[in-house]
Amino acid sequence: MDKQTVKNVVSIFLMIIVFSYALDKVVFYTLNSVSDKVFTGQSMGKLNHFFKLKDSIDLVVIGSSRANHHIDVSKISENGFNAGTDGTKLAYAATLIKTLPKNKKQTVLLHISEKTAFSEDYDGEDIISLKSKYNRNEIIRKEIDALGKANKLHHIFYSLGYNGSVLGLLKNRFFPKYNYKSYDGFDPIYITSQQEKAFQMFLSRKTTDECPHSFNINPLYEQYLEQIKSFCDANNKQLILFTAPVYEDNCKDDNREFAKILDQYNFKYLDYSNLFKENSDLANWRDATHLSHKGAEIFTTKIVEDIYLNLAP
Amino acid sequence: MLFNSFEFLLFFPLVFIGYWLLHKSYRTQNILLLIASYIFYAWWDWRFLSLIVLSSFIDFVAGSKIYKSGSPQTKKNWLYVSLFANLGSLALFKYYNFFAESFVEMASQFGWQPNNLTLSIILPVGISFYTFQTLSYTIDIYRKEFEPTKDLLSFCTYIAFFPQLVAGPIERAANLLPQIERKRTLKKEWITEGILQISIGFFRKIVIADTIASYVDTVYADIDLHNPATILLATFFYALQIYFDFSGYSDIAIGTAKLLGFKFHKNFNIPYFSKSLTEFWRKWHISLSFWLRDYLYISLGGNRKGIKITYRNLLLTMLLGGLWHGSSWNFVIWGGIHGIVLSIEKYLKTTPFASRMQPIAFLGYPITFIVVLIAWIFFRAPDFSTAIMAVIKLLSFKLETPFIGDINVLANSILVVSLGILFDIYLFKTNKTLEHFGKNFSFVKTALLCSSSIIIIVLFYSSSTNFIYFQF
Repeated sequence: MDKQTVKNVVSIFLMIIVFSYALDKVVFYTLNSVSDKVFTGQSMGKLNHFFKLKDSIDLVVIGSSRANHHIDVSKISENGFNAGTDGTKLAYAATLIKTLPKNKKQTVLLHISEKTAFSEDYDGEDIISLKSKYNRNEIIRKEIDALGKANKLHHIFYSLGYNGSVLGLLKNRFFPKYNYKSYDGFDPIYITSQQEKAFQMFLSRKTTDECPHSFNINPLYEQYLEQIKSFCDANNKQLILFTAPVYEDNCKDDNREFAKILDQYNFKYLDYSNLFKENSDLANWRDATHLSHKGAEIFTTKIVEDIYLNLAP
Repeated sequence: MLFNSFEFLLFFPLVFIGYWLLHKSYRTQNILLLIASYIFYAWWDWRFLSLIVLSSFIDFVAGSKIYKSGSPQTKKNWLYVSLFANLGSLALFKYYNFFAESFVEMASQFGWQPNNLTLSIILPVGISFYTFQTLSYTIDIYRKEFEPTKDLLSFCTYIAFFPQLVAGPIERAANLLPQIERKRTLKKEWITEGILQISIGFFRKIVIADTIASYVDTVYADIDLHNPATILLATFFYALQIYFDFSGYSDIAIGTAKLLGFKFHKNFNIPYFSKSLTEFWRKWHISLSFWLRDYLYISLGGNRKGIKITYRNLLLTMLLGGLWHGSSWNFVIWGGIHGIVLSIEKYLKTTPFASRMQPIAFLGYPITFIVVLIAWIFFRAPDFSTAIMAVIKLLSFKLETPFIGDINVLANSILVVSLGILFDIYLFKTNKTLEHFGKNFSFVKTALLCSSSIIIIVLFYSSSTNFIYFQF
């Protein structure tokens, strides 16, 4: 290789490194400024909305889609927010809880699932849903790093935080679907005839799930539960854990064992897995683990009753 | 090692620097390439390296013996040694369980219940590619179309050369070996061409193919649950997924080789812009279709033994081509559909029908695409009954609203697919090939385009999945 070729190779690779690094920063800061004005949409908008409200609300519902679509927060508090987000689990939820203000009295209603708790495979992958805040929020960065879930290139390419969400971000910036000021985070599901058909077909061929042979709680899950507990105890938060209803609970042992474990930690825990055991009306369901708006209404009424009657401090 | 892995991001620059530092001796470069290639392969499973080494050694000896031997029978015997070694390992690792299962199933139809005959073996990555490559070497020598190399190092480097080791392109010895046995230079235009082809390859694979894969996987995991419009959309997406996945892999392979001073043949040439299936096969997985033509179709007699034998050869070639992709009857059916339509096209060409159709020849584009789409159903479906269910549902022609799934994923899919298609339309309209796309670009322009691709990849990449063709 002659000197000129070496010069060519070095110069083009240096240019690629410099250009891509600079371009990344331009894109990252541009998207930050767009993102700061977005408060609608399931992922980033809702997260921004949560960060905007978290210091002033009295009650926050956190958890997966089974929190998001099932709890009508307005029935519990006039100053509450349902921060439930589809596809997220305890790592995501625990991180959000850790960002809550210190010493402000707040109630945290956290959805948890015994299936995830007893799963050997749970590794906190859901925390990746917070990647847009990786370079912008110290708590989130530490939590993602602690789990080793950050992309190896995220320290170089900050824009990785916006991976997969650019279109949604732009759409919600310029064409917001709703007025976020009157939105409390609850997203009831209005089922379509297609979803109804799909659920009926699913039920017609459903096989029975077997109970696990042993009930060893996932160490990461347990660690998060401990961390949440100590954070809430130290920061004036009333923490209530709950499990939303399922259409058919074939294994009751795991619920029982899970409740025992939570009891050992002195958690307040409400298990609604079998709430609809006596009520098989399909109109209450979208699928085996998600209630329709009608089911969510019944469920919310029940949880409100329990919170005020049994768990009020 | 996968091209789309963090390891490769470190591996290739190290190999690149080391390789060009050793530019004074191409043999030393070859030693580095061979070691790097074996590391590349061993990253997946080091135990199967022995298979490549053994296959290389057998074919090196066989090639030499075929060339040196004076007697036609000895030549033939050594060719059989090569065929037996290569096809034997392919048969054992790839097809044994398939035929054993099929045999047991067939026997049970007659009331006979043989014991389980299957073996617990895994399919070595890339076996279908490198066995075809080694076979072409000995067959070419047998046909006196190529002289064998005397250098075992060069031959082993040719077989194991990492850019094309696990998923092609299937480079013939006549093209690659001479390049391995001479000094390489890095031409200025090859730098820009190589970098741009790699960037576009990554974009095609990890942005387009991987993004649409999630929709396709969801639908094909449960065909029964989805309506015809959804199955149609998923199949359309699959056609694009497999194209962008495999052509993306080929682009990275060709671009990587170019940066090391090697020129590969192109493997894809905008195949969905084809007016006939015959044209499609000249543009799709070119290295395989030409391999099948030269070593199977022609060996069977090609079109030299009358029209009936020609159709038989065509069908047989495509059936075996289908089976090459995987040990499942679905792949055979996929090959069969292509074989039948290719035969029909061949027949129509001999009739006045072809010239009468000339004014509406443009209809060949959508018709070819529809045929390819239907065949893809068999290629993608996990089993025969699922494929049939998908076809029956599609034939009901019920146009209901398709399943949307995650709206963000679908919107991203539509955007990235549109970008990919628009770029292909641009190549088609301007009559350019991706191999030479960056030929006259300045370094600044290349660096800017490459940087933009990197940022687009960063913003839109989907979590990496394996390359589809790795399973073959």
